[in-house]
Amino acid sequence: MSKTLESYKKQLHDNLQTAIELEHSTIPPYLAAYFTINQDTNTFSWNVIRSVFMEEMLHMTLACNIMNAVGGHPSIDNPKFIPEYPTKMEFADRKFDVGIIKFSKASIETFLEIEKPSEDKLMVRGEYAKNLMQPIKLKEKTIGEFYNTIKKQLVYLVDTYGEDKVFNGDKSLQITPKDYYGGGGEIVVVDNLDKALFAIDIIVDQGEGAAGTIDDGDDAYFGQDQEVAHYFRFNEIYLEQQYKPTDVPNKKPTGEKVDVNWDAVIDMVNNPKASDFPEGSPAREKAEEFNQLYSHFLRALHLAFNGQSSLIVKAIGMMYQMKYLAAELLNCQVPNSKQFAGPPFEYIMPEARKQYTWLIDELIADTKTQQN
Amino acid sequence: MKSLKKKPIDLFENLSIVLTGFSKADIVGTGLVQTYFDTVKKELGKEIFEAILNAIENIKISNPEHPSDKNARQIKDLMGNINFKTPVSQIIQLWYTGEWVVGTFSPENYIVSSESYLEGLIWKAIAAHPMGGKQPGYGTWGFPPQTFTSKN
Amino acid sequence: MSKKTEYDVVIVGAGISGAIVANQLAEKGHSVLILEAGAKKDFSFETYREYLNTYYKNTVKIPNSPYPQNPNAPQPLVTDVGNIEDGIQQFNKDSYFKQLGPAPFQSTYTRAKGGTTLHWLGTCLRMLPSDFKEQDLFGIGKNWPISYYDLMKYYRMAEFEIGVSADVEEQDYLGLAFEEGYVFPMTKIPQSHLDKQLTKWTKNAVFSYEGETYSYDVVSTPQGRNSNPNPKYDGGKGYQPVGAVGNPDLGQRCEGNSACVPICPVQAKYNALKTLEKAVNNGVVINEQCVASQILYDDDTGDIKGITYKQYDDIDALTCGESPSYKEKTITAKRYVLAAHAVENAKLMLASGFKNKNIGQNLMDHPVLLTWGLAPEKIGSFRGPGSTSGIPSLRDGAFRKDRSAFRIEIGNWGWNWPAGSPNTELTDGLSENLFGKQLRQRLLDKVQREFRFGFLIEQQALSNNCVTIDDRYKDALGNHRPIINYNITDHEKEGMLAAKSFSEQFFETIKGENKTQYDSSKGGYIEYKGEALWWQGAGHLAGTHIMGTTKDNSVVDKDQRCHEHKNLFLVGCGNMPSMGTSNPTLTMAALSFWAAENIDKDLTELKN
Repeated sequence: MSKTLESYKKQLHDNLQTAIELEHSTIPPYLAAYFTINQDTNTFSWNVIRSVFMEEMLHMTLACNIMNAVGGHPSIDNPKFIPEYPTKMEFADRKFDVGIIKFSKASIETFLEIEKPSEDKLMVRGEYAKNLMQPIKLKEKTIGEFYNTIKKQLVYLVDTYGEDKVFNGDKSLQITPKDYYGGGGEIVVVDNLDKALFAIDIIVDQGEGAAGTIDDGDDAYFGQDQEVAHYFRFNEIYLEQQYKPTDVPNKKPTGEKVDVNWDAVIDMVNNPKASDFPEGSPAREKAEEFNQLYSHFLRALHLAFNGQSSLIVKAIGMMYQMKYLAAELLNCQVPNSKQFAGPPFEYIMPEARKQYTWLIDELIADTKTQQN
Repeated sequence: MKSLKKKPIDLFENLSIVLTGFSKADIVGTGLVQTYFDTVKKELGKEIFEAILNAIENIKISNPEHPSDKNARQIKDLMGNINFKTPVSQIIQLWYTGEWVVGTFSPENYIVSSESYLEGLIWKAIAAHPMGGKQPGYGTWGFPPQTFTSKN
Repeated sequence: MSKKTEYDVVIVGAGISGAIVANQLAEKGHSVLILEAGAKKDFSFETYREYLNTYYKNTVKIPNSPYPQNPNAPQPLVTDVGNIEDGIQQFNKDSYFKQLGPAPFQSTYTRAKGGTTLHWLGTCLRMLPSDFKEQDLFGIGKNWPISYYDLMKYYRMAEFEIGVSADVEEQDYLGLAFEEGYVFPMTKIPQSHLDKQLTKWTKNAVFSYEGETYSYDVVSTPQGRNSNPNPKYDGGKGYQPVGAVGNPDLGQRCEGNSACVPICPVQAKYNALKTLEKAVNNGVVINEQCVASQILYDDDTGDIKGITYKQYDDIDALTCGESPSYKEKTITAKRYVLAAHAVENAKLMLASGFKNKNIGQNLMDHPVLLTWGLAPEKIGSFRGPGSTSGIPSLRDGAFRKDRSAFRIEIGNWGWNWPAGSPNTELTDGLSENLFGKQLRQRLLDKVQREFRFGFLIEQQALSNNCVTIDDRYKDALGNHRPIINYNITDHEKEGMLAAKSFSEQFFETIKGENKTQYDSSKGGYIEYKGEALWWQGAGHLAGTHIMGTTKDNSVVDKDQRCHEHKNLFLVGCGNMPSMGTSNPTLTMAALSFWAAENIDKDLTELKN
């Protein structure tokens, strides 16, 4: 019996690790689009993309809270954690490239593919008691459906083995609401099935819309302003028109026109890599610095999600520094090209990391002693 | 600028690196090399600007990020030169603060643009961030300051 | 505007006190109109960003630098106060204030929608209980007709409205009482590394002065900027931080922009636009570009009959120097509220021929003695909010009968205020022909050790410090410019001496370097008992229409209603008979809630 629980749990942990990686993998592409436009010349798009990646950070955190709640351990600072861009994203019915590319119609198309809503009715909260299902394989059509699978696994395990055995994680590892700010939604401290399912609802609804609507659920869940889900927010940029609250998912938006300045975009090379730029060039120097910072950032997140939650403050500080560094990179012309460098988001092995930002001084020693 | 062998903008970039003490990557990373080249040329007038670029070309700085002692002395002499002292200071002030400074509180002083204020190198020099921009994030001011400089 | 015949309430001024009164009354179902003198601005975040870009491009980053000078509603600037030449204080000839001295009045305010909260620091200290009865206790200043305990409920309301961050267990010093179980909406703003180091370096040390000793305790300051919401707030209901107007995802936490004054780029710091937006959503109408010029009243009853205002055209046309065009209108209401600012309220009442002799008198500020020096090591200056902690031990004590109390503010932005750092450090380096890495290193080594104190000296309410008007001095719209008479007493100078001594002992204690040096040509320089002193304004203008028990000693009664004009209420710092050593905005906000409650009662009686 316990052996079976263990093996099921391993599968659940693997799925949650995939969820964490999935949430994270969308962030660099979103950031690339965000970094290449300007708050004053593309205000609407800038706000949309900012709100989306802030919520992706929330989703990643929520997935980590679920993982910790069920006795798993998020693994964030490892080479497999970061995909090499462009990466393939694969769902049951489609496969597409996701890359670090500048804000453009093409990049928004990709974002729409990522956040595509499910056409099937997903499990809603409260229904789970009747759903005695076997764990199923991970071959879903949307992110929402993938999370639905995790939901089913959780429900199955709780029904079979009891809540105490499933939610047996160390409670002190949970990230609490005070650690997240600046976007829609709120951190949920997960210590039982209900909370876990709620956390998943937040993730799915913010991304795809709540139960067949365009709404992201934040108004109902948190009393925040009504807002449409990621897919529809991207669609507003794509179609240059806002949704009205009464609009429905499968129809075009009918609200106010939106100003999207497709030309006021920094011409960044696609999928920049530090090694693409000649040694000694500003682009190379800043790209390497960016990768260093990004890797330190992952380290900080890893530690934060594994017991040192106070490091979230530093991790957010590093995100800000990444933004400023990316802006510098985007000012560095690629030698012999009209295009500009950009943030590569490449993993640096812990032993090759350098100390150059005050934010990470205390992490360095730690990185050297307890590599995962 | 016919008398110059190198491209004037490249000379200006080298001059900027050596005067500010920042790396080429930092200077280029501001995105303001061309803007400041134009600003300085307009404000100083072609003649003085060319004379400064000429002087810097003649000094033949092999590595502007790490000027040799000889080069450093030559730059120091340039700053001591009555003809160059003010313009050279103005160029440094422009890079450090984004402001073209004619005199203390002179009504002719101006900040080139919002970007130029935010890219002022003085904030990097003091390991801070421009007041009102590039915020470091909640609670970061409670941490000890940077105790080492970056690679430069 | 709809064709309704009359509003229940007309309020002059869309700053924090006007916004609070408007919103409170609208929530109770009363119809409210606000007349705002400032330029027309919508509530979008893009509009706010125009202020930010103005700030970035301004070469002189004074408190009003993001908020352009508007000839229809001019405002004082700190640069109006010039140098002392041949012993005579000079003033910029274009100044809005006409200053008669003898001391320069160095504080300013903002005439724009949102008012001076657009550029306030956000300090939210309650006044001490003793500050409300300092005439009784110390024989100085004026008593309030109400006590700290009367105001506690309204302090809580103000702390909710502004969104104050503080840990209550650190704030109960010098008699400050809080209700059992009360917590602030958000936990304290993290203290700066400087604060922490100073705490460490002063451990067990004391400041000695005139036979008494005082602690160096560094205490976190309650601030109107967003921190982590306290889950225990409101009996466990918690608190939702209020972000930027027009973009509420922004400003959910203070992100350390280090520009609270003049402008918080993300509005993590409270400004009155937040309350105004709520008020508008509750039905309040704001008529912008409307400068109140005259209050009409009945000579016999004193009742207000209407407010005349000048509505000016869009101001872009003004840059060509033509005189502004405007329409004069009069509006009536059941009740009137002046919330235009201490100086503007007084000016308007004087211009309207009000007879109460106290109007304009008792002008107060906190003269700020600045001292500065270098910490023994790099403390990371120019990071975080302008100040995150203070030293409160000299805010109260028996000494107040002999010298002014003061609050000590620890500044996180190096010598920016007293000496224009870091730009002046750059100029110094350049004057020595430094360049390149040497220049960089010098800036780093020096600036990173810089910090400063601000000693906010309590000032008593005195009739000679006053706002008056004179028909010879008017602005472009023909409204009066305030004439200011102002001086500093020996009682206050004694406080400054103690402050200076504190600073000297402090730098010795921490083994730092006191670099305070006062320039005798700078406005605010004085000598007293052979000591050089230099003070600046705090922007805490108060006391021009104080509350009291009779029309002989005050302008308004304890309900904030004019003694002589029963349908007119005044709000703002002008009502305060003393400020103690607290920045006045929180107390003024509390009084505004109190006033709104009284106006509501009054209107409800009237309507029934």
